[in-house]
Amino acid sequence: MKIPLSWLKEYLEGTMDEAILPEALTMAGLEVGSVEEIEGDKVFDLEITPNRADCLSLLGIAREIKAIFRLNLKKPQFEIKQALRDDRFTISIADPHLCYRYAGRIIRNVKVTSSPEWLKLRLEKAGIRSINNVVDVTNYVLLEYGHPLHAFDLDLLEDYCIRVGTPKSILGTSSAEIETLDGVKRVVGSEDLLIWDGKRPVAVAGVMGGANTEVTDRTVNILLESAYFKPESIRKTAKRLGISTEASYRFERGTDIENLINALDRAAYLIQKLTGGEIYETIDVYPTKIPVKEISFKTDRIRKFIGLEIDDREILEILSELDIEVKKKEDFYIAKVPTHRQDLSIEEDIAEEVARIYGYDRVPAEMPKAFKPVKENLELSKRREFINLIRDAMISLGFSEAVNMSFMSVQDLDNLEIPQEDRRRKVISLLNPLRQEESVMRTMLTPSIIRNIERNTSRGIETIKLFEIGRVFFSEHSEPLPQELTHICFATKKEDFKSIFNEDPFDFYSLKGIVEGLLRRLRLKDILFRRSSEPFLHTGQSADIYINGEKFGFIGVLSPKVISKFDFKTKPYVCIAELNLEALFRAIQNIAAVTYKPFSNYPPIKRDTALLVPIDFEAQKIFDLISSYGNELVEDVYIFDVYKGKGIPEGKLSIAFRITYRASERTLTSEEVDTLHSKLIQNIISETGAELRF
Amino acid sequence: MEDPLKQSFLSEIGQVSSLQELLNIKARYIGKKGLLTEKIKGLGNLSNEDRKFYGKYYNELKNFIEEQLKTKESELKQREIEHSLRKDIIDITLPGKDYYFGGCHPVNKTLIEIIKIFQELGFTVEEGPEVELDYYNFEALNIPKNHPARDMQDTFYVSEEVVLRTHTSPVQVRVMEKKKPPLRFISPGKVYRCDSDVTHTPMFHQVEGLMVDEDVSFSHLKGVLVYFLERLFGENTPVRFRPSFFPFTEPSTEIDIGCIICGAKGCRVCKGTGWLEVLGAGMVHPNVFRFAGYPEGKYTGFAFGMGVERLTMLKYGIDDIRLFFENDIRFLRQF
Repeated sequence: MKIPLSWLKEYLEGTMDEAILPEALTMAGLEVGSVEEIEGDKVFDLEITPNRADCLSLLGIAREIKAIFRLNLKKPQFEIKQALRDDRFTISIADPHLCYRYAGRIIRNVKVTSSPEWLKLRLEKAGIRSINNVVDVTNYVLLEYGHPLHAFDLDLLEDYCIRVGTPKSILGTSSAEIETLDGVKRVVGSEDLLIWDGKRPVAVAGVMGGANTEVTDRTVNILLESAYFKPESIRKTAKRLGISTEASYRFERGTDIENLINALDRAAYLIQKLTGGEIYETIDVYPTKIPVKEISFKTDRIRKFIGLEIDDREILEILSELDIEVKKKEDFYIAKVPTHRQDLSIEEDIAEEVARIYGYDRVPAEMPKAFKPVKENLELSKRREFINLIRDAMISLGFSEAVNMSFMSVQDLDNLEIPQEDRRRKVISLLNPLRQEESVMRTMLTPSIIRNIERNTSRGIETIKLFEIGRVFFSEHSEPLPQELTHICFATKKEDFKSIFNEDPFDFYSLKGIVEGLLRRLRLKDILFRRSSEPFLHTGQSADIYINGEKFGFIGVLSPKVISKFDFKTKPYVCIAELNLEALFRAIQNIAAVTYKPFSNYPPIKRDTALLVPIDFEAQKIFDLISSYGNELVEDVYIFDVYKGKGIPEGKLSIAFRITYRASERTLTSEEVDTLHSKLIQNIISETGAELRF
Repeated sequence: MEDPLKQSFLSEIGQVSSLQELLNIKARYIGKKGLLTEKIKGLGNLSNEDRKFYGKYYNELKNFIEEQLKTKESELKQREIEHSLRKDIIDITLPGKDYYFGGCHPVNKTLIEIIKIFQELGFTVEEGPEVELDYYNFEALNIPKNHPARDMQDTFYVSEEVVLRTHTSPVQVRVMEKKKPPLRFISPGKVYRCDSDVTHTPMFHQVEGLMVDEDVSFSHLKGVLVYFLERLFGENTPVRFRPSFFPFTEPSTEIDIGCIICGAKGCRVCKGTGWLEVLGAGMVHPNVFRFAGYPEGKYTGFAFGMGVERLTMLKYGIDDIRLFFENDIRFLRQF
């Protein structure tokens, strides 16, 4: 809210240091966002929190300054000399639960012209456009008292009456149409509160007036409205219509029901002063008077709650400065809440008022003396530790950590050709996304990482190693909330990569090695790589990864089909993997605690063998056969050469591997190892049809 | 006068340059048919006196030759190693094989640092869902439907009853439903607001904290948070507490630190005020305890919350929040 200082000072009596005013207001909870100089005047831009509706006015701010600096408040002085009577005009409220009070005054024979310069300037400084003298006065009083007013052209009101009610209670219909002052035809619902004349709606209550009864330069007689509407109702209507006005902003935060007559009188007085005209008596419909709120409080509790040594006298003094009347009762006090402070309702509110005016900065900062121990959430701690371990490992392995928005679009899934029946299509959709590209929650991290690679590549980065750990969200049929799982996605990208060492840290096997290394670090076994069916991966260079028979991720080279859907100027080679960390975390829970196993100090014997196999042979078979043979002397098997080309028949491949044999309690003899080894190899040959290569 | 045999041996061994040549010399002098070997074999033909004399002499000569050969051999081996070392020289200024450490995302780096400080203070860590019920995100935090306080947080809706959490405060409610005080925990995580411009992203990170017990006071809130800010930004960081409003705390406060960019003199970042807002906090509103089912008036506590992106920007002098989510490798590698 914009507050011109020269105007504000009219309501204050006494001296204060203007230089420290912005800081003092900020430190009392009325944050001064900026101070602007307009025509030699300072204009404060105040950020008023939603609880302080009373401070959405000059008088409200002046009241706060009065309490902070202990000054006197100077309310506007005016007097309506003579009021005429008119018994014919009627006001009725059909929905008293939505409109608690409605008051009006008729003013006849006004001259609607443009406003005098002083008025225009004041409104302009406060950020409000001048329209004509009548409308300007209603806005002036809105700023002054914080109470919104509205002026109707009396002669345009049909049947000489005002009715307040919803379409439901006035017409028995579920909606009604009204053209508002901004020229927009709006349809309101059955529960939206409207102001009607004898035949039709003439204003959306508390939000905006209707075009059909607008005050123009042809207007001669007016009806001034000052009312109190239920805040929630005004907010619902304004939200539904998608408009927020100076009036609705204040009504939905709560105006001062007891002050609305003052605002009405002030406006009538000013209109008469500026335009001439005769003021009529107030018609005030106030079916049920709102009782005064009382809060009982104990000063001891306040002292303890704030942690401040402050005596009763000072507490009561602060409250009195805030116009809060206090009565003593036995060992406690009762505070009478002024009608403009509807935000106060409990003892803690009283404590806040005391601390706020006393000064938060003067409350000592005290560390609690001793903490009682708090039990940690062990399961969660283990989980966080697990994720941190993986994050640290990835960073050590050369990957930089990305963080992306948790959103994606259905188009992203289409780009990856994710099948319609795939679980990853069970997306959570936002009702109000900012952009189509961010309209659903991610069910996989891969699209974001591809986009990161795309962006880095477009900026000329040739090689990339990137990972992200984040949640994915799957809609659950019968549950209100989705399933949230933590995934990791990591990828490498190269283009035209050359190395002096003839190594390639960006190929499939490098990434696979990282997956295997991570799993080994986690002491997870029984991992299986099977040819992948993921449609976005290179069919020949991809695998789905299983643990204990359950698929928990994939790894592979991004298919050229997918690459072509992104904006790559060059031909990048992208290896990508995404793993469900939840599945890994579950698997870890089943690993027995480490117990030391003794190892053999007897010498090993090693045997190398090369086999000729068909070109599409999968090396896994060799490992499987050796391990299924189940000989305890086999300590290790590793493949050290895979070769095709010169010297190898067409359609064949040579795989060379080394088996290490070792016994735990004796030295093996060459002869027994030879026998065992040839049996093992014979078994492999007979199971696979491989040939020995000499 | 020197023995010619010994002389010729010494001259030959002096010219040796390879192990093979050395072996040849060894064979020629002390091999099976070596010159000296032959002489020793011929000792039998000599007179007793001569045999005794030459026997001793040849033996000493043999020892001498063996000694010489051994010395020469080790000399040659040494030379060979040195030679091969000279041959196998590499350019040690070439870069090593591809092994960079990656960069930690700066937001997570700050997050981990914040968590560590609070863990030192005996706070535990709690988490909750990012897609949350309206009830936990708003209602149980004293923000009813159609309350103007909902304007403070632009919300993404999934349905009428389900939202993307706008803060991590719903974790407070979920924990309080299950646990009785004393409570002391923080809840870090991603939060969402339907807002995107130069200073706002629709997703960002928060750490919120809660401490509940009998007799926790506003003064304790100040104590704990001043300690935290001094740990994060350095001792003697100016800190000020301003009254503010949050529906779930009463009293509420916003906390500023002296601008670390300009040294509290006033700059673009602090909008000329010399202060930077870094935390929101307050005493837990009794309604929140009521929603959690705690007995009336028994407990007091404080809650606080902070935006991790903002703290990270201040800590590292990052001037554009969007950098965090572009994931440019040149940005990430710096942390």
